[in-house]
Formats: sequence, C-alpha cells, structure tokens
Amino acid sequence: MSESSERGAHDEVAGATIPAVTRDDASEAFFDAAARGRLSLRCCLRCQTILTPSARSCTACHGDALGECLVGGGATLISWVVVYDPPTPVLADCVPYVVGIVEVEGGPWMVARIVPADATLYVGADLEVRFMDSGSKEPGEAVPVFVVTSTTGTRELVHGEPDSFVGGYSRQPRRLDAGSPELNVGGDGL
Amino acid sequence: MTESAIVGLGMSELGRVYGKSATGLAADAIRAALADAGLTLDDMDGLLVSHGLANDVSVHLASVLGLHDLAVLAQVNAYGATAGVMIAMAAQAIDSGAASVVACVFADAPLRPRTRSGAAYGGGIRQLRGFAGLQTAAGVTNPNIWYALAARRHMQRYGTTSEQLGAIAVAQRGWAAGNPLATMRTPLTLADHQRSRWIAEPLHLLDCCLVTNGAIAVVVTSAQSAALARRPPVHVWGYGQAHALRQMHADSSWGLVTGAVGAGRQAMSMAGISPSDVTVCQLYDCYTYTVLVTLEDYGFCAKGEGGSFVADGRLAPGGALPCNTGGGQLSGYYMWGMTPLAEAVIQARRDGGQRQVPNPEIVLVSGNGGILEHHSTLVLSPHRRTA
Repeated sequence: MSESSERGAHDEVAGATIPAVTRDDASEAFFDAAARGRLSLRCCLRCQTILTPSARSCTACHGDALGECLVGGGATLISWVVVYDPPTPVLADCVPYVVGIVEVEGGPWMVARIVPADATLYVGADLEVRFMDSGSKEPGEAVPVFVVTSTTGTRELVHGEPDSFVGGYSRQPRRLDAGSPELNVGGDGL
Repeated sequence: MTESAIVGLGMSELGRVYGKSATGLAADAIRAALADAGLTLDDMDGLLVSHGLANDVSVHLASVLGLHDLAVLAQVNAYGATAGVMIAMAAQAIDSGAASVVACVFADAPLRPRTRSGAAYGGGIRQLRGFAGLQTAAGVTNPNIWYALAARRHMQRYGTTSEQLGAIAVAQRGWAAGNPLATMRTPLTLADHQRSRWIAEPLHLLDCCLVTNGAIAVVVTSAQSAALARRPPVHVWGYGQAHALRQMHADSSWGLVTGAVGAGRQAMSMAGISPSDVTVCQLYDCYTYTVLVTLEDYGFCAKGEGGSFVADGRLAPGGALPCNTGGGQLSGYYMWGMTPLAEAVIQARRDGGQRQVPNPEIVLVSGNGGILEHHSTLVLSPHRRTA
C-alpha cells in the first residue's frame, strides 16, 4: 500500500524532478511495489516470459494469464535522449532531463528517467533502479529512475545484418532462473 | 499485378490555412483532383478517407460532397502509412470490379492561429495517470522523443552521425527551392542544421518535419480508363504494407529495422523491380532519420551504411538518387503519406517544373507511421506495365 507513512522511505535522488503521477487500477501493484522500493513487472504464467509492467498478454506465447513478478534493480541502457526544452508544460520544471529505454532483469524494456542528467552514457551501460517521489506541490506515487553504475566500458560498433542485431556491445540478456527474480504468481502484491 | 492508375491529383490550400475544417479542406481537394482527372463527382463510386491529428474528417465527408450512391466508402488509418494503404485498397477495389473510380483523401487542420507548430502535438497534457502517465512523467511525451531514441540506437550501433542526418535535410531543402508549394525554401547548409536547436538530442530542429493544415486527394481508376484521362496517368505497378509493432523486450530490433523491409519487398516483387531500377524516391520523412533507415530497409544500401550512403549528396538535386524532390515533409509540407505520393505523381507526370527529374520512370513511394511501426510502399510509373 502507498500510505503516507511510507512516503520518503525510498531513495533520495539528487537533482531529478518528476511531475506527480497517480495510480489507476491497472498500475496498483506496480506503484505499491515502487513505494516499497521494488520493481514489479508482469510474468506469463504459461511460458514464464517476464513482461513490461503494463503488459496485458505475453509477447512470446500470447497467453493472457499473467502474474506479478518482482525483479532486481539492475538494468542495461538501450537508448536515450536529452531534452532541453519542455515538450509539454507539465515537464517545465524537469529540463534538462535524460530519458531512455532500459532493459530490466528478465528482458523487458521500460521508458524511464536516467539520472543524473550529465552522466556519460553509452548503449550497454549498466544501470540500477532508484525510487523517488513524483510531484512536489501535489505529491504523487513513487516512481523508478535509473542511475549509471558502470563508468567504464567500451562500445563496439558493428556493421552487421539486420537479423543479427543483438551483440556488438557487452550485454548479457538476463533470464528467469531460480532465486532471482522473485515470482509472485498470486499477483497479490505481497 | 494490378491494372490501376492514378489519374487525378488535387490539393487544398496548404500551410497556415485557417477558417476551414479538415472536412472542408478534404472536399476542396477531392473536387480539385476530379477536375484534374477530367471527371466529376458523378463519376466517382469509391471514397477512402484518412484523418490526421485533428481527427475531424470521416465517412461523413461523402454526405458533405452530396454523394449518396457509393460502392466503396471507408475511413482508413494506418497512421503515416495510410496513403499507400489507401492506394492498395483502391487498386484492389478496381481490379476486383467492386468500384471504378475511387478518390483517396487525407485532410488535417491541427494548426491554430498564433500558436507554435509544436503545440499541435501533446501540448495539452495535464493528468498523469497509470502507466501512460508514468511514461509522460519520465519524459517521453511525443514522437520527437521516440524517433530520437530510434536515431540514437542507430548512431550507437553503426556510427551514424548527426551530420549524416543533416545531409538529408540539406538535400531536401535544395529540392524545396524549386517547389513553389514548399514552406521552407531558403537554402540550408550543414552548419545551419548543426546550429539549429535540439528538439530531443540527437535530433535537431532541422531533423524534424513541419506541421501543415490542408488536404490532398488522388483519384484512382483502371489502367484502361486511365488511357482516356485528361492528364498523363501514373500507373500503379506494385504495393505492399507491413506492420512491425514496437517490441519492448530484449533482442527487439525496434528503431533499427522497420516495416519497410516487408512492405518494400512485397511492392517491388509485385512490380518486378529491384532498388537499382528505381529512378526517383519519395520517402516518408517525418524525421531525417526515417529517410535513412527506409533506404537501408529497402536495400539501397546495407544495414548500418545509410549514413555514408546519404552523406555525399546522392539524394540532392543533381545526385544519383533524387529523393523527396518537393522538399518532403521536412521543407515542403506535412500531409503525412500524401506528401511523398503527391510529389511522385507530379514527377511521374513531368509536372515538376524547375525541380523536375530527367527520368521519372520508376518512382518508389513510402509511408511510415507510428514510431517506425506501420509501413506502406508503392511503385509507380508513367508507363503501363507490360506483363
């Protein structure tokens, strides 16, 4: 639950401002977990593929029976942009910001803020999740942001065939295995 | 094999045109396209309607035009791929005998007086709720940012540079100089491109298309009827579509490979051509990057080599592969898939005036929608295809 007593229990993320986000029915489990500092994804109960938090069916087997899945906080950077002018007034207090696509444990991609905004980035950089309060005047839910944990590493450019895309930079796709991440097939949010 | 041809092209006023709804603009474009074809509303028995951002044109357009006996009538939406999809649907209706004269129209009027173009997209976001709200709060609010994410992937993977994207913008501005309908005709240098402000780094302002109010319509009929048309017909040799929806999962090639692979293969196979036969390209250019990745996916160069392929002026006036010869959506006007399609018709008919290419024999036209997800391809020619 996201009680006010729990607010502030998660990380302080310096320099990042995120406008207030509120929950709806579909995002309840995600924001409950976020308030506890955990990343809650979906998992296909048939083929165990780990899916994005907003998934409604499995991208691998098309099954529609999904459970909740708590994963660790490690992630890999897939792409990012730097935004200097607010694209919409609600982001006026956030610029400049970096937003990226990150690949979290188990393989799903999420769109998330990358902090700090002046970090040196490259595709394949190692990231780790942090949770921060969204909103300032009107408080919102705790939301995930990602910080860069590897400050070294090389990126290799590859001229290959379109079908052989993955690779070219150091990246290990993470698969579901015993112990990590935690599966919560009951979907009751702990 | 299709035996259909485009026989009419009509445009409303384009640009910062106010005081008319998209429906009103669509009606203007259809009347102009029919007049161009030497036909009247009485000759028309099919209508396909495509809306844009403002979403205020629909099948209701038929009653606005006073049409009460149509064989084919539908609203079509595959985003930026819609124009090519409409032409395919019209060709299929004509080849099957379902209809004989089909008008296809796109209309949009998202611009408002005294408001910036950018405000047409996502300016009114207020409530940030659920997962969609989380994405907006994180900072991904509009197509600029999604396309920038795609371009960055390509840059990191293949070493593509902002200057190479800039070469596309410069080439197209060069073509726009010869197009009286183009919005931006002042010559552009690579330095201008590099100096233009960041919209979403790595995309500069001059990597992004315009926003335009207006409507464009084309009229499609059988190749046989087209022989009797008032103006030179433009024959449909091939069409294709493919929808490569964004997979948000490990190993996804989103941003690097698009539906142009499948759509291009279909259309070129149907037309019996390969990329080396193409004499002029009209490629959907909501962003410079879209042109680059589409050229790769069609097979004009290998995957990853689009940057060097476009960097040497190949696409510019005088280059080996004329591309977006009216300035495209970057410098000409933003009528979604009708921008490349209209310019294809103009070139195939040799109506290009100052910007006319010498050999518009095989024209390749692309449509791209969503975030590099929906794709359509057309192969057009001034010549009737010999089987």
